[in-house]
Amino acid sequence: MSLQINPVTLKELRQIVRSRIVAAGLIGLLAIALVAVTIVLLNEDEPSAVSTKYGTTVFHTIYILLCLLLLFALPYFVAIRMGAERSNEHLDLQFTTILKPRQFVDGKIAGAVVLVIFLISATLPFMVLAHFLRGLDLTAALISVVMLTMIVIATICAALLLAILAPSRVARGLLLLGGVQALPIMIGFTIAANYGLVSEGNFSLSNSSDFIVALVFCGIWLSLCLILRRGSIALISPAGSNRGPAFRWWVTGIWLFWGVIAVDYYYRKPTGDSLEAWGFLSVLAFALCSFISVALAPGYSRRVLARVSPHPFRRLMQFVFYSGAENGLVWALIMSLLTVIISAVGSAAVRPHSGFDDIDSFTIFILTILGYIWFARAIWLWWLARWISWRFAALAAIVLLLIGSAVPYVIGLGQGATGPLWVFGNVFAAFADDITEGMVGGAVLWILLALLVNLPGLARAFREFRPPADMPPPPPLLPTKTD
Amino acid sequence: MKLEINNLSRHFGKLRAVDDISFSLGDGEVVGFVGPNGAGKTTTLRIVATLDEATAGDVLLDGISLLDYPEHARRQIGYMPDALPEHADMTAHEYVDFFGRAFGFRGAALHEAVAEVESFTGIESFRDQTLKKLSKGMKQRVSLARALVHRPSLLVMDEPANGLDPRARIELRELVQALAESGKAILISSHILAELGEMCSSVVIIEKGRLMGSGTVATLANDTQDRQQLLVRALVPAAELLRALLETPGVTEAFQRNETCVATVAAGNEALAAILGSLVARGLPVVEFRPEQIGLEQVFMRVTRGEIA
Repeated sequence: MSLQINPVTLKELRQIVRSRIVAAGLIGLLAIALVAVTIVLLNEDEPSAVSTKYGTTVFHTIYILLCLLLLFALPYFVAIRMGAERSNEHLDLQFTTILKPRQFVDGKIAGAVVLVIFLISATLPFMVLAHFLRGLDLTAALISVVMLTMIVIATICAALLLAILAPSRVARGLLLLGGVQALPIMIGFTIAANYGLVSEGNFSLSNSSDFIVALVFCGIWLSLCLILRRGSIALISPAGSNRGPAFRWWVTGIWLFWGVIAVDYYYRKPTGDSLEAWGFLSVLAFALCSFISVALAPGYSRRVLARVSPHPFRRLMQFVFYSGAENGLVWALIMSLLTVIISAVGSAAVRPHSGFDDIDSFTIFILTILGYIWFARAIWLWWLARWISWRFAALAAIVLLLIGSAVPYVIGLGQGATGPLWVFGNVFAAFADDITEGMVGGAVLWILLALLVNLPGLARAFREFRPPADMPPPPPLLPTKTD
Repeated sequence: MKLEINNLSRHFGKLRAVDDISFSLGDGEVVGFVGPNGAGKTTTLRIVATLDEATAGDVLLDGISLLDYPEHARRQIGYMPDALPEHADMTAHEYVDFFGRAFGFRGAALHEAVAEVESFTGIESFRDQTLKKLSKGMKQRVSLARALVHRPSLLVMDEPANGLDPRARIELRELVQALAESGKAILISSHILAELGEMCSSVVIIEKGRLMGSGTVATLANDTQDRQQLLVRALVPAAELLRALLETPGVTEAFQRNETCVATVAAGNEALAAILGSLVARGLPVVEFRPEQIGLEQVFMRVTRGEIA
């Protein structure tokens, strides 16, 4: 089996087997589980409950422990290990091999998944005990464990991405603190969902609406994991490689898939919010992508340019999807505008006489944020580049966004909260109660201004984005000397 | 195999870490890459190892650009950095085995490659120890085994002798010589200049990212001096020989060192021939006449002080 297995997975598994942290975690989990179950059973003072409640109580206790370990300790374990391997003497060495970034990320995820399964299976004796104590719906318990596993895998993918994304120890420290804030919410949600599933019995796969909910959950989980995995692969690839296309095609594909489902569902059930939910999540994702793109190096590596087609239309298409700061910004802007248009048209077609405040709201939201990011790019290009690295352009965008959203509040004091000064360039205007067409117009004007100041940079980027004249054709790869 | 570094530059903002350097090496050659701290050695080696990108210039391996097609080169290059990870949960054998797999080796071919490289580098005796428990010398051996497991034709070594004790250094030198004899091209950077001088067929000296000189130590010694020291001994009293030397045209100064006289003369073989002719013409029975050998350390000091100009 070790002949076929991904080398990184094999390495991870070998390390896990020897890891003192894993051994301590496993022993700790079992010891705490034993003590906790004993205390829970001893404190159960209603003898009549033995036949109805004990199994569920024990299961909940084990589940909470598993949640704490898998949703709090494990993501940190994975992220810290990944962060440590971002140094020259670790990861770089692996990049001198013929391992692909995809194999590296997949190997890491697979290693962590095996660890998750290993830890869950270690608690099986307690779960069997819960079953024998009766009162436990085995199907609900199984669904609950599967749900936990899926959430843990998504969290591991996110932890890997963030560990790769964080360029310094300070950034990793900030992410660590962010995790302390976010993970308890996730744990709370998972425990509550488990309680609903197992104790309340308010979920059944035989119920069609519950089945759809399960399908949507699985779809969202799969989409999230795939995007996080692709993002990790793109970020871990060498800076000079063409990292854009695979990630952007994946995101575009997933956006399209959920868009079709959202539109279809909206037509079937016009009172629902599927279109708004899809639109809002999409523009959030594109805003995040823009923040990453704005912090990319200017210019193109020879490896990217080598793939540019001399054909004008193909070159234009490639410009949108290929690696590069301007390329990423243009792609995110186009995708955001498409999202807004599809949402607005879809909404107007189904509910022609109702206002579409939600769509107006996220239109203002995304256009204002993208405007700040584009302004930040222009400011960096024409002024800040002399002093700070392109890596900090995203930080400049965040600072601009905060200042730009705070200033209207200060200026607008006493003028009424929705005056023109308050609206223009203010991301919080998206959350106003009474959104007018003028406010949407202001957001459009804002992004147009941002594009205008970026025109020279965009034109320069497009001029540079052409195949090099002296590029030789790629040589055939030499065979690996394996025999 | 031929590696050509052509007008290579790497800038980090305003810092020119590597600034327009060019040199080449081929099969069986051991090229020492020398420079003070911060000269741009590691940056250059990382570009050659396909771990970094150049701002300008190119690195060609058998005519194919490593910058354009790094995947092509990785099977041909073994890179040994100056540090090895300190895994507490991975043995030396597992580490080398992992890199064998990472280069696509499987089954019997993998076992053969790993066993061969473990035997060559002498890590068999401690292959089951975790990396964290190994001494610096052992780690360097593991690092070398890792770099050689896929049988590359070019070996890039960054400060391999750093922190090694004298015995480990001698063993490393022997390994490098054995590798060169087997036909591998080796690019090696080090601060231990005396050892580099013994190991290398030629050296490349850089300072502040700029190429200060390249070639054999003897060539560089000739190129970087306008005066040389000449050792002369004759079957006459040393005082008489000294007097004769001081009267010989082309000798700027001379002094006596035991039975030998040391004269400072112009650089180049022509000056040596003229002085030898003059001494013989005076009837002095010369039994020893040789220019004093200049080591890499002296060449390095001269070159990096700007005496090349």
